[in-house]
Amino acid sequence: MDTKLKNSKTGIAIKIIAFILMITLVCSGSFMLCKAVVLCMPRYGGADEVVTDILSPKTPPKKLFWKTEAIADDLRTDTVYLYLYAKYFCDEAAVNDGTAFAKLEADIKAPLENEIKSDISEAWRNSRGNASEELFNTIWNSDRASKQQHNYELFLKQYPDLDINTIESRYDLTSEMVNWYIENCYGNKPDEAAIRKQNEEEYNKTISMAKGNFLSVYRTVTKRVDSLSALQYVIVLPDGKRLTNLPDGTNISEDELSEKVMASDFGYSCSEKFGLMQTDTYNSGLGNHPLIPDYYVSSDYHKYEEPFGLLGLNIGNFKNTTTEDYVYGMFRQNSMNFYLFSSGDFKNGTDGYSEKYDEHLNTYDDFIPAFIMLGIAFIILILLIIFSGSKNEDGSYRKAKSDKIYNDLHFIISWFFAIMAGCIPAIILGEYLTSENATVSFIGSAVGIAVCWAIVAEWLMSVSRQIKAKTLFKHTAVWTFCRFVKRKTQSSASKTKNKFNTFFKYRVTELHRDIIIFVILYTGANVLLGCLPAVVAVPLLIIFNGASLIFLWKSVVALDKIMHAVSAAEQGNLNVTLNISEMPQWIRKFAQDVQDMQNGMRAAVEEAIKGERMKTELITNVSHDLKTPLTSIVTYVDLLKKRPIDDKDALEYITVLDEKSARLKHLIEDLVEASKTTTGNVELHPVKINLYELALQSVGENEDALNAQGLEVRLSAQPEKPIVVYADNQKTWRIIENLISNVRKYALSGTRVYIDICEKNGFGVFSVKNITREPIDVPVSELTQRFVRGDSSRSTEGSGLGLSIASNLCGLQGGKLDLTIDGDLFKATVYLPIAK
Amino acid sequence: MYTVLVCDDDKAILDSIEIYLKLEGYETVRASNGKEAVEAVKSQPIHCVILDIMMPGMDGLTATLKMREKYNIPIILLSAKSEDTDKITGLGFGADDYVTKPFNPLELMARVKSQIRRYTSLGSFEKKDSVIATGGLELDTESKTVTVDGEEIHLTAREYGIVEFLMKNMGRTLSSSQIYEAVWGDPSFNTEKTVTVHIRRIREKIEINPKEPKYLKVVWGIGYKIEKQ
Repeated sequence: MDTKLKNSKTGIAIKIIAFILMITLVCSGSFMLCKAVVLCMPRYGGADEVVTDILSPKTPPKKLFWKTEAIADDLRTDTVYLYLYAKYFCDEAAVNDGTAFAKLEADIKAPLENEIKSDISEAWRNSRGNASEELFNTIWNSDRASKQQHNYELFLKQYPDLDINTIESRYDLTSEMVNWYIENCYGNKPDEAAIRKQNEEEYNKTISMAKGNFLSVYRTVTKRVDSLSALQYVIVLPDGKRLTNLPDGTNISEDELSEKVMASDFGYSCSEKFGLMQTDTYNSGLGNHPLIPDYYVSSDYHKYEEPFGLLGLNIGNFKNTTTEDYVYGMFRQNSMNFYLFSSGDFKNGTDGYSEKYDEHLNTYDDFIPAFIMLGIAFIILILLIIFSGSKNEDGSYRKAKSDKIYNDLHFIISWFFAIMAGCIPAIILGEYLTSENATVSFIGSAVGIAVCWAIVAEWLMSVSRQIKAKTLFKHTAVWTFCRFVKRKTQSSASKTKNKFNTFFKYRVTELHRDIIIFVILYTGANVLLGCLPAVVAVPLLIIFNGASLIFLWKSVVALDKIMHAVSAAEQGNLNVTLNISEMPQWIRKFAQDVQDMQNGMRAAVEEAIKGERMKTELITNVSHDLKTPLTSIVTYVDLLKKRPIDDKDALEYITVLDEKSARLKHLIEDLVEASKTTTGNVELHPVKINLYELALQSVGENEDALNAQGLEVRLSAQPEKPIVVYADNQKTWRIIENLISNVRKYALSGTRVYIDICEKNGFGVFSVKNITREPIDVPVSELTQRFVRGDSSRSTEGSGLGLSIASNLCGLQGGKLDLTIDGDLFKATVYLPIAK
Repeated sequence: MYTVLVCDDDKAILDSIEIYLKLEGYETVRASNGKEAVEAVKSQPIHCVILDIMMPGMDGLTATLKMREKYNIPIILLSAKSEDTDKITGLGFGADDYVTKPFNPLELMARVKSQIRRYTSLGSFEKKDSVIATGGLELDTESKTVTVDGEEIHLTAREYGIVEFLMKNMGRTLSSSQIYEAVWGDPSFNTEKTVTVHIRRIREKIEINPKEPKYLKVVWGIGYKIEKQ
């Protein structure tokens, strides 16, 4: 469907036509389906028989009572024809010379005398009843009419000894009295002659009718009997003659015939020797249905009584026999033995049985058109769902009137009525399955299914429209209610509640919505599934709940992963990757946000590290470039010193150059190191270090120099237990060297320098204390910053980087450098982690 | 008369080094990059090479490799790169010594002298059983003398004792108290400080640059050792 068509009115018309077509298809399809299903059901027996049928491969599982009934009907009709044929029409000469009809006439007349008798006795019975009533009234009625008074007096005269007080009801009158009364007083004495005459007249009428029909019935019967080919019959007449269409029917013994009957697909027999027999039709795939009727269920009853009626006979006359069976009655009352059965190749016959049998075997064919129709209807439904919801010119979606209902209410209403309509077939089919109005129930079921289908289709199309217009969740009663509540709380909330509002907003719009939908769908689906029969419901419930559990489990795992990633990021590890495509849909956006946040942070951190690295590299390169000219300066200054120079000032200048070039060299080295330690760009090779040994070495290396400055070193005593720290010994020495060199530069001469070691809180502590020469005029916290020195004048030697480097190196090794100033007392304390 | 090849791309440095070498009485050959240096070594007898690392064309490390293919003359690398890793790399390429810029001219001369002395006297010395040696450092337990590159060093009795103890345990790191107990023969009790002072003085006597000792190394926080070379 192209867009133009979709937008035009033609599109809508097509959709309406398609909808009607779909419903029509559903209606006829489900009608056929119901019929086919019902026809497949066994008429006798229950579900267990169906199961047996399916499990047992010995016979085709086809128990189609309708078709069996049709075959049985034909069989009965043919039986009647055969009977009439055997009785009246088998001898063409007799038909022609009228003896056959005379036989029929006698048969018609046979019940006449009996009937007259019964009619007369009936008339007498009625008269007696009425007469006794009249007599009783005459005796006890005090206010008698003159005629009654006359009769009363006659009665008293006839029975003078009778005490009338003993007559309390009419049953106390003796039959003698009643008979007397009828003879002498009663006006309505039965007229036997009239009754006889009336009956005879009726019989004569029947006979004349039979006479009129005789030849036509003769032709019909003989024609049918001659045409029988699928059906084979043998009738043994009372005189031993046989009527048969069986090739060797005249010679075959009756025992053999009985066997043939029982071996045939369908057939029956009645004989003097074996009585009534019929084939087990179950084996021939006709279903367990009696071929021989013991009562008439079929509406086609008249069909096989018709020839009887036409001939003035009454089939009911044959019922009063020992087997209570018409067929048996017909033949055995006339002392005939009767065998009727399907021939071995009856499927090639021309008498209509093969068609019926085929038809009955192929009843499953009804399923195919039914499924095709329902399939087409289903395709139309899908197309309708896809193409529903056309766009208006302004781009908004056109909505049907039903879309105004809130979607959740729409769901409940639609499904309520759909389920109601869907229940109709179940009720009707069960109710009318065995009745003669099966077709009506099929139509009712089909209509029910079609209505159910139409409601669900309408709902699905509405959902499709809502999804396209993106209003599936917003256009719901629940949503509207939440929005109402939200608006209420927002309008009443003060500014201090803003936090709550953002929380509320987020929860309701995102997470709550998902959870509410999940809970509703989950419970709803469970309830709906629970309504189904247990055979279907249990596996579906297991599957559905299993799927729900897996979904929940996946959600929890995904959330756990995200939480792990976040806490890892908090610890500084930004490299935890989330496999977003494996997470449930609802959580993906959240995971993506976390991932983006991680990436952003990582990029920022990398950028910062890169910047610092570049800075360090820059400083290192610059220092290399500075060193080359510095080398020349140093060497040439040295060469100058070796020259014979007389000028005293010149010598002094050279000394200054010498000192300053040495300091420049020192500064450059410190600068590189400070830069590296600040960025952590230092390789550490930690080993176990004995702090006391380190202190000894530091004293040994520096004692002479310190003594030269007038400083005395006091080293604390050897600890009882060696204090062993875990640190890089070169870097640690660098720390100590920097501290000692500070002491050398800034301590007041003539004072003592104390070096102490101890253990404290899992750290090895190395401290240096001295008295400063100049008062320190910068805050202690700034001393470890680069280029800061105790005296802001910067006149003394030193780069101002020593403490900064020492502090950084301590930090890099998991320890710290602590500086305290108490007046002129300066104390530097190094903490290094104790080796485990 | 020994010839020293000086190779640096900076003419001023080249000049100054040449002046010092001449003052010390060495012949000099100049080269301004690695290629020239390798050719110079091939074309004439050279007794020592001073080689800058960062040079245009062939750099010092490559030149060292090339020279080491055929010659075992001492090579002193000269570089502005002062990191430990740079030194390890340079020595790993086959150089005998590594001096960082800016250098002390006197120290450089001392190193040149030491290298030449070892190069020329190598193998000429008849080694006695009583002599323990590592690199240019030798200790004779019979005559109780210590020589560095053939020059005798004057040590006090304690200093000699410490060197002997360390030489006998060559490669092992020994703590101050171990040294004290071995050399002084008394149990140490807050007296190890003297060991560390002695060791610094020994270093000043036997090392060219005591801050970067070649023989007697300080293992900070652990002790001291003389390494086998």
